[in-house]
Amino acid sequence: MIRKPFYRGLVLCALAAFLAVPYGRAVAVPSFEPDPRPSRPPRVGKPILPTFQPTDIPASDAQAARFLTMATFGPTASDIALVRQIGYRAWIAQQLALPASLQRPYVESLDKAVQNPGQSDRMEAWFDNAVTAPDQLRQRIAWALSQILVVSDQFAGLNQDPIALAEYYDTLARDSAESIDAGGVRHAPNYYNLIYDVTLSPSMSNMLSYLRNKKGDTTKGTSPDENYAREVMQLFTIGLVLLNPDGSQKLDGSGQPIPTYAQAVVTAYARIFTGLSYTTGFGSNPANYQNWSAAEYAPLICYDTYHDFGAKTLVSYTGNYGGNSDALGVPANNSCMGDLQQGLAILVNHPNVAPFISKQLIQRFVTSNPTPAYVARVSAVFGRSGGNLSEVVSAILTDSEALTGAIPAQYAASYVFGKPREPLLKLTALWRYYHAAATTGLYTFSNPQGAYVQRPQGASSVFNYYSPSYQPPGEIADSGTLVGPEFQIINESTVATAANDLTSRSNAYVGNSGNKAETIAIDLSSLTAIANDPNALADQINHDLMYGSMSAAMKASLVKMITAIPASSAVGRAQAALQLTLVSPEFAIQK
Amino acid sequence: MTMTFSRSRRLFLRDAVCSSLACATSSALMTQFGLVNSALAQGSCGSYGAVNDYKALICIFLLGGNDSWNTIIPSDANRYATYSTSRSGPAPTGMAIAQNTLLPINVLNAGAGETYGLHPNLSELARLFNGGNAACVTNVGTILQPTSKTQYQQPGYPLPPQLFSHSDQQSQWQYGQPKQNGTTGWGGLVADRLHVLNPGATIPMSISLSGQNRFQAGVSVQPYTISSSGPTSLAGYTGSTGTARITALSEMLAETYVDPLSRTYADKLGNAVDYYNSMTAALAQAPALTTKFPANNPIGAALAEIAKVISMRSMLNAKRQIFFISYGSFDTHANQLNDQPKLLQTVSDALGAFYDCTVNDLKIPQSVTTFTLSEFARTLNSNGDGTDHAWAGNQFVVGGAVQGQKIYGAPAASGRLFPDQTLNGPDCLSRGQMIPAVSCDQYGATLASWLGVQDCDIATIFPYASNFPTHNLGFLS
Repeated sequence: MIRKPFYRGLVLCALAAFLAVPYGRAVAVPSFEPDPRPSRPPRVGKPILPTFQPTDIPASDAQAARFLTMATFGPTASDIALVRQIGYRAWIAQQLALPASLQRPYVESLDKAVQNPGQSDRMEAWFDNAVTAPDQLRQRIAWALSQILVVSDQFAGLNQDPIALAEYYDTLARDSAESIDAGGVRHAPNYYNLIYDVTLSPSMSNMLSYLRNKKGDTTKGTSPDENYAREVMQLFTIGLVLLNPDGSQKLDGSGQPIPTYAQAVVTAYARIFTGLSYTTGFGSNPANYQNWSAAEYAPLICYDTYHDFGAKTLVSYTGNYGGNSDALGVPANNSCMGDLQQGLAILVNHPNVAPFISKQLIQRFVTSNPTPAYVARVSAVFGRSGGNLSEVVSAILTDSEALTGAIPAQYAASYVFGKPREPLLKLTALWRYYHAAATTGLYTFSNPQGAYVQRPQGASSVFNYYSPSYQPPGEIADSGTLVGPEFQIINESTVATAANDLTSRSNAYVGNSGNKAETIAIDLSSLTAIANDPNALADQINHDLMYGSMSAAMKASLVKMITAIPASSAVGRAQAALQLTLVSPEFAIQK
Repeated sequence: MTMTFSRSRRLFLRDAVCSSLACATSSALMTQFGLVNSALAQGSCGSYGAVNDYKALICIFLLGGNDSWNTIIPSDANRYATYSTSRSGPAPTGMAIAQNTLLPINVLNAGAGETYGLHPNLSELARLFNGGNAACVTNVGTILQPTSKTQYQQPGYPLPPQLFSHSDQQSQWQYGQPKQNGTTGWGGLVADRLHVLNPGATIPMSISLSGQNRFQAGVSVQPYTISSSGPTSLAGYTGSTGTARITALSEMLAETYVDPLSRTYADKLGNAVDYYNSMTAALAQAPALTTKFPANNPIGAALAEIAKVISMRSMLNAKRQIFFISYGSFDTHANQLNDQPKLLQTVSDALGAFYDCTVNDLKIPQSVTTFTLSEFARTLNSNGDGTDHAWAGNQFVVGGAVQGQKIYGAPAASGRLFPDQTLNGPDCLSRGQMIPAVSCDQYGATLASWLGVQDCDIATIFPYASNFPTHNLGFLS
């Protein structure tokens, strides 16, 4: 089996296939130039630094920390210094050249042969990587992708299969930047390869129930499962309605959005995704949640017996499903994997993918409401690079809107820069800056769901923890255009549960007599050393957690509080200042 | 813990008090954006006089699309045979529930020769139904106007956008208008009108046990989220330095923030603190419930908490309340015959206990109406291990005010109230996606009317309901 198709060849082949299909015609050109497998030598471990650009060097710790808040799980003093030394782009290049820190080997070492292991060890691996992994940017991309291409331990028995979920997360991390597999084959981090790997992932096939999906059976009167067929379009590639490159909706003659697909397309893609199962046989179950065999985590293969080999009419890039439809398709008697590859290529080449995915990635890293110009710039990179995720994320993080936090004048009336911090990333920011660690060496936090409503790969549905278009009631909804996705999980109950957990984490400092071996303790020494000076203490926390953005009013409140706490209690002052910062409205919004 | 704040915060009603700086900046932003506050533009069609009685609506949203054609099943020989064939026959590959396992229900308005049974895991719902305290609304879904199969297939015929999509259909069911735009829900719009019936209340009329939701999002009234164990307090504000911390928090909450994102967060945090005090004070005095709620049942736990809140309605100055619970996933593309029975059992057991609680503890069964929503029902046709997204389905309503033991709706194209389940027959598409004969708005409007919304407000909240013969399906008295 060819693990990955050679991209350019695939598209030509697919185009040839379209021409052979009687019911549709090929659109002229794919929406972006596909990215051939790179031919330059490996650069893993040998970062190639781009040309030095003076404007690329942050002017202050604050600027560097602000950038790192977007690009990592939280700034650290050493990362701030590094970015100030080498600049944004060199830092990004260095990061993406690092190999992906993986979860699976670690989870496997803990959970192999364990029956009913639950998710605790996978959580620990996630926190370990978030807090300590050197490849912070890759990990942050994987985290963003895990919220778009959602697999959750809430489904299909995955709650007892942490290794499968770890492998899935590793796939996202690997496909975020160029990777070289065990056989020495190089893989470009393009969106096609990502979707291809996701589609063949045992975790996703369980999550969206196309594992062992069979062609329709006229005797039994059954039809193929439509689950993945629908969500791969609605959520993973093209979305519901046609988009312009700037992310705005295309409208028809009567001002209405134009659906990207019809129910018939869902039915057709359901037939594409038939015949997939484990390498050990179509009906086999290497999982069984006890055997932990390698086959359980290997990419699925296609079984001809269960695949629907009929011709399939798929999507129209113009949304035209009428009598003279220009829908693309695959011919009858294609190969089983050929159907899958061409069907996915047709989706990934859809002009919607660049704005649809680019905008969501911007929302995960930088701002909830990117201007159309920002989306268009990133979309253009998506298209130009063949959906190269490394280049797309670089473009997102180095865009002028991201680096300045300023909305250009022509958009100022209807856009607001910034995003609610994801609740879980408040915790990682605290832990990273203050070197949180336990004497066990572990990051034992088995279920962050209760406090933060975010358990990695634990969303309540394939729709993630929140919707990218969520508009919280009140002035944001009233604006008609603004969104605030993370607000969907911030309510009167969870705002308190998150604050309370952060308060207890700020109380878990090195030297606290209540600490246990597994207590993840932060190092407050840099704060207690200056706690006799309330101004200096507030300034330092502003530097450490809020990249210098704290308002004078907030600082005044903190200083007043610190002053009211006896100077003899340096720890009490530092802890209280952290507690109030972590609950504050200013820290809650990343700008 | 009770926290006392120096500032006097409003205000779960944005239009009730607008003296704070936050309000001023909000208005400034709206002006800046060239927007009109829709709360002011919309208004009410008439004033609502004081009421002495109490009424509550409780929405249970079955997330993921419940296969409700396996909740109530035609059990007479002819129709069961059609049902079974359309469901691709019995287990393991078909979805038909065995005829001899159905729980018989006595449907007072069944047609000649028609009998019905409930899914074997709905024993409590069957008890409520046969006791006259539950009803079924059949073949209800998202449509804008009466829609036949021919019309559905006709290009350009007005249909709700994105049929069969979870997120869109969830929004449409909760909105009160099966279309895409807007951010409010009909429960929220009802609360916007009826909150005036709760003079002196210190917590919002809408309370969610499941966090943010479209259903309760109003223009001026927004839901207050508590958990099944009650409201959540902020910890870490006691001890010798507690006062200093509280002061700092109070100051931060009273601060004017320049951007709407910070204001929105500050608002939630402030509400969490403000409402906590009122709610905790009330719940502290709530008598213990004698009704035993089912264990390990999230809906039951949420309903038990709701019962406690209702028991303190006088102290909370609540005459009208709207509660929200969501539960699921009912998205049974796979493993349906294993997963759905457990889900249905959870719903049924919770509904049974809660109804009993309204009788035995609250003693106001006629004042509390519980109803289900779900974004769509599923294909009758099996995919071998489950079912896929479809359209119209069945919903259940429980309470002392329910004109129970009946099936409500409107005749489908086949002429039957309970539709013809023949695949690709007059009432459904090729895989048994049933075409709604009743709009989700008629269903919502019936519930809203019972709570006390005037007809002219019904017309505003459910603008498409007037496309149908009636906006009141008659299942509540």
